[in-house]
Amino acid sequence: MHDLARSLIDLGHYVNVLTPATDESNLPDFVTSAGTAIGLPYNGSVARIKFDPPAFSRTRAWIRSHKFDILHLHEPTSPSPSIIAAWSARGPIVATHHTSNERSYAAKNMQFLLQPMMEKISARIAVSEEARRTMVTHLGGDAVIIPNGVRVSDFTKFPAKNIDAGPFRILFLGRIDEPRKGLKVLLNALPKVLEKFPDLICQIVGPGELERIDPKIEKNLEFKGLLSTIEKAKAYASSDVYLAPNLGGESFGIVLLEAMSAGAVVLASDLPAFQKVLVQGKAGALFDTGNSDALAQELIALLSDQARRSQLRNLGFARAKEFDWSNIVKQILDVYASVANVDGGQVREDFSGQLYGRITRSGRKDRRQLLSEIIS
Amino acid sequence: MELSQLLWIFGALLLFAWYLSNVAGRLDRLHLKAEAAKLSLDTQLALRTSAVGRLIEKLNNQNYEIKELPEVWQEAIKREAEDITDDLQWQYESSLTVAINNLVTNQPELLTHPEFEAIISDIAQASRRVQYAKAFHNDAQKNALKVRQRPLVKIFRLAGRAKLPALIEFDDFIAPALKNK
Repeated sequence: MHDLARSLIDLGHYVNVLTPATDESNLPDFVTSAGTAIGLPYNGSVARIKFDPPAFSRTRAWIRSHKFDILHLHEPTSPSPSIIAAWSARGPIVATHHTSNERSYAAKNMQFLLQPMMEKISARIAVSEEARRTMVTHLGGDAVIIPNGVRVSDFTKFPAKNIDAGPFRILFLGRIDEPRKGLKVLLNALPKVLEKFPDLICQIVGPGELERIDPKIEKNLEFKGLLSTIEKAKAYASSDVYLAPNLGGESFGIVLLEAMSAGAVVLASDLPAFQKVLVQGKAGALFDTGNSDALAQELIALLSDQARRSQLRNLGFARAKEFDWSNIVKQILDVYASVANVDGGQVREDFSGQLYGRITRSGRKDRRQLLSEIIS
Repeated sequence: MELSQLLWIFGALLLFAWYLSNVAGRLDRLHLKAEAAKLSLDTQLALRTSAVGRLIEKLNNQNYEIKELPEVWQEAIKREAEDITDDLQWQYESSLTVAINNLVTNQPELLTHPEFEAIISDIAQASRRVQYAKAFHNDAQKNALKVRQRPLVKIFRLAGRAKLPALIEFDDFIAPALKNK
């Protein structure tokens, strides 16, 4: 979300981001820390949770001290400063839903607890049709679809790899020990691909470790660990093909767009979200999700066909450009404008009508103020 | 009846009353949000109408021949000024949408004309905002209406004198040519 904030700042808006941070000394000046987050494994992924008393007081202080015109929450159903902000604030609130998940029991069971918070949100954005459907089933209501953006210029800093120069390099990016990212599908496909292209190099970027590596493919693997955005841009640009063998749970394919911005050709599993980003295979190649044989077949075909690769590189770059933040941010601003208070009213802390407000009487402040104004 | 029994009944009544006042508070919140959404929609519509007005003026200055748009625009602006929102206003807003779309589809040269480019992109932006504002408005109204229709809310008149939330339907389609302006 830092990219959205930066794009808004580029346009001259005042933005402040409240987020859990692991290293508080090293934050950009538009970021406020909500304290350190703890990782909690949930639903095959690691959820970063921030939900303790300091987070409450920091979030409330943040809302009071900035007089925002718009409060934009990200993933307001996860236990994070987002939900605390929704709970304590009143005013024009926009929320973006990212998750696409057919069976999120936690969200369903929490619904009645979340209701008062969710009802304060004036505008909802879903990043994809899948995310919208998940949101509608679990929370009801409706959302407009605005995809995530990519800062294309962040990924064009390095010249893309010469298209005919071997040996071929392919790239995988994501948590190694997370089954949903589908590294296994790729590793199972590699022996077959290596028969045709024995000196192919497979770069693996991301945290985690493999339990066991097939000795047949070991010399072709390059592990890079976790990389910064710049290093990532370099890795994309130095690859012929970027692989996204994900098995599911993706609501959008931001990494695909990053790879395409840098000039890598994308080969991805045919999840609905990926199909949409790749225009049903026009801006990048697709294979049957989870099927190693299909992956091997497609990858071999792609590496053998230089004309197709160079065509996909051009179309992929054009597709990524459509999702550049400079375009997406316009739509986000349209949403802001369509819910911003007409009378210039700002986001403020307000608990009136909520359980907490009734117990602590903090919601009465407005009424008392009103009364004193009437008397004087 | 024993005292303890009376206390139980009293307690239950108290709890029920507290619950009712909670629902009333929630309903109040939903009504406020719905009202704010209506205000936003009105504002975005007015902004669209004024952008169209500027375009018409410019077209006239350049001696451009246009028929449909000025007529519909006149009517729309009249209805908006009267401050009575009714079916007729939504009819005119629909006609305005259609007229805008017809103009940019039939005279695509306007989209790149140096004289009109800026104002047309203003109209495109206003149209997108109208579309969003309408979607959020209807969402808010639906939300309020759902709670409003609960039997308990009706029996105890928890809504007070607040107006019944209502959905608005008008054509807010944006022609593809205008979409990315």
